[in-house]
Amino acid sequence: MIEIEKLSFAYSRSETPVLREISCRIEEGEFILIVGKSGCGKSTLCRALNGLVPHFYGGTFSGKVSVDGLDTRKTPTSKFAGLVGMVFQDPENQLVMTNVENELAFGMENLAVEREEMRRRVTQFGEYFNLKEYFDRFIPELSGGEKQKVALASVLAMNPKYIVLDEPTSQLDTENATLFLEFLARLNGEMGVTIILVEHRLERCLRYARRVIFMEEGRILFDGGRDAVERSLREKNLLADFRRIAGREDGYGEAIVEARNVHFSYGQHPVLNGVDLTIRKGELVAITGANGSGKTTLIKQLNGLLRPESGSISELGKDISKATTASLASELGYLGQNPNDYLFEQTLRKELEFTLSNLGVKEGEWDERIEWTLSVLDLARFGEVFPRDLSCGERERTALASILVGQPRILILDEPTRGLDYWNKIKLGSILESLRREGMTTVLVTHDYRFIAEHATRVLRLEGGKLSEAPLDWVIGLASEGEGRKAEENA
Amino acid sequence: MLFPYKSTDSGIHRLDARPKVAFVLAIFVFSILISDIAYLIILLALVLTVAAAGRVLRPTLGLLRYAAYVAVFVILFNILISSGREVIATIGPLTVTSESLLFAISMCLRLFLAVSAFGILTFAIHPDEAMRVVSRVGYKTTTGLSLSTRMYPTVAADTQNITDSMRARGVEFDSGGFLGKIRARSHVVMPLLLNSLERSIAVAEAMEARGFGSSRRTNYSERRMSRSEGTMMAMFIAAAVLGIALFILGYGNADYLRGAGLNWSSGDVLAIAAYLLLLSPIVLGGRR
Repeated sequence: MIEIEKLSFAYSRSETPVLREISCRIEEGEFILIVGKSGCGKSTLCRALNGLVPHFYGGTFSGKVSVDGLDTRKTPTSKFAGLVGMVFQDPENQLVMTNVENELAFGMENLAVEREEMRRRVTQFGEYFNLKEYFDRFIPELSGGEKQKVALASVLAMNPKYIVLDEPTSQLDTENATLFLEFLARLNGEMGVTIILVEHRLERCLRYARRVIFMEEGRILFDGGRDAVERSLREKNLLADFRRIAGREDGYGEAIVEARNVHFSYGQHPVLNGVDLTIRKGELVAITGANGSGKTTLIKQLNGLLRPESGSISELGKDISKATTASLASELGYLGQNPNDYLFEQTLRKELEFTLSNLGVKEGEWDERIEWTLSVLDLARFGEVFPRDLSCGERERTALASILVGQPRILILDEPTRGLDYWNKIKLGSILESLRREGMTTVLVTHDYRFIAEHATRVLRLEGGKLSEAPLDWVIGLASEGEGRKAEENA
Repeated sequence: MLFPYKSTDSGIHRLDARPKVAFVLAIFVFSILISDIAYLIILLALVLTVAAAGRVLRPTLGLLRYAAYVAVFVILFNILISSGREVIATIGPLTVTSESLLFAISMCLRLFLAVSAFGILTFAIHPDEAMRVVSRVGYKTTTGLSLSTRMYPTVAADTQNITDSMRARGVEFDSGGFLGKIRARSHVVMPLLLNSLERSIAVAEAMEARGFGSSRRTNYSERRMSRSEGTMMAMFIAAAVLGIALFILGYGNADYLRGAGLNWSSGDVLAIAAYLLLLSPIVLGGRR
């Protein structure tokens, strides 16, 4: 049993506590879901369960956490490794060996498990997770979903009683996220492992949990059985049904992106096989497709990051086959998957000035453009803040700001909702919608069917290297499937 | 894609890492000690044969292409500061002497030999295995090294993505002359550094959560070497030791700048034969 008594905690060099007098009890065999806005303290609470808080982070700690009678403050973290397993958000940052088999063994080696026993468990979990064929594979070559599965398997191989997972599916697409969550439910049911899951995609994982803890500003606001808290969750707007936000207006403007018969391959591996695409002014087009279907490859053709092997692409009436990405940047904004790739200046304002100076915008216009961008993206209060100090959702908007400040006419976004919590997603959606009403044309690649269902004016599906129009109902169906409800309820 | 090592089914790949590391080390020793061109050519041929047997000849030749740029520089440099008396050509104010030319060729061959051995190390030995061989040095060092191998593709991908982001923010990477290109590239450094810093904190945390750093630990795989692999390893070490001994006795050590020629004694033939005898069993590879 895990017992938390009046736990308060503040990170070093910060005066505001992240956790405020938290008390609760976690019994063995539970499946608990912890939800709340980014920054509500749920990740910190997770880290308090195995002593990373305070041992790894330092800071001011009061109250008490004990796991099976062991006080986390008096016991070193390595002691908890075999008792409380932890799976983190980004699979990229928690796998340390180069191949899968050694990865599974890594934690056990640290716990000094005998070799024979390690072999037995590696085989057992390799089979249980269907990983045996991957044993020799290089970890960097695995997909995100596979990596996260390896991370979970290697934690389980340490035989922990409790597993704490901090947004483990936030970097995964819907299909892989569902598979991963189903797996957790199985572990809980078949092996009796206690699961403590932090997630913000409530619609995805509520059905697996038996108990839900809702946190706000470092406190537990409510805590109870799934059915008991459902009403409160709805009141918090967390279980809202689809709301079609983008109207299906007809008669968009002139065609501003036109691709004809585009082919592209990586070496021998063809990815785009005669893609035709027309995008009209004012549309918000979503491109979807399975992992590895070439969605990112496709949008990189649109701004010159990649060049088609054959076929033609024109934008705003001009052929772009010779234009560099940088020369297209003032008309065409591109935001890649990881906002961190955009952030390096000391303040958000300087970040925007960097783009403006590259684009050759006259200094006299800078202030006006910066003010406009910050207000559109709801970032005005962060102008003088170091962008890397911001939360995940704020970083996403900051990276978008560094593009939007150039006032492009077309926006291309690659997985913009990845890692965003519910509230930040709503915010992003309404920003895109208001930009669209002002005439912005947006192309976005995403796996987030719910986001598409709510915001896209048109959906395209990339399959077998070709693009086809996909009916909106199909997307709504997929979104409902991911959320475990029937499509008719939402149609 | 981004990673140099590819698991390939070849005898060389199946061979235990220990004899392979010993082989590579022996070749490194030779590339430092031996200057005689004939020795170097034969050893280089041997290493390239091993690369071909391990089906890694193509990437190894790719590495050698880079070494060739350096070689051109080495040769030009030696001709420029040419010493020696046997003038074989005069180009304007420059004289090319056979002494400096032979010396330059010898230097280049040494470089090629070391680089091709590095090719075997990179393309035909699994990094985890190579690390395990080195792990006698210390577990934490090894994990650190292994981690950097593991993170290499991540950082490479980060670099590419940051470059793309910078392009999308109007930074030109392909025009603007040499200085302009350098300046454009410099914009990648800061975000890459910050990304790596954040990553390393996350990795350290994840490792701590998995009990890394506890005092006693066990080792998952201790593959036993077969008898033939053990014999091979002993032979490769013997080759390196023999190389040092013969170097002290003056074999394979041609001082071209002082007028040494391309002549061979019977002792040289014996020495080369001994090296080949000791080193060539590697092409037999490991058992299936």
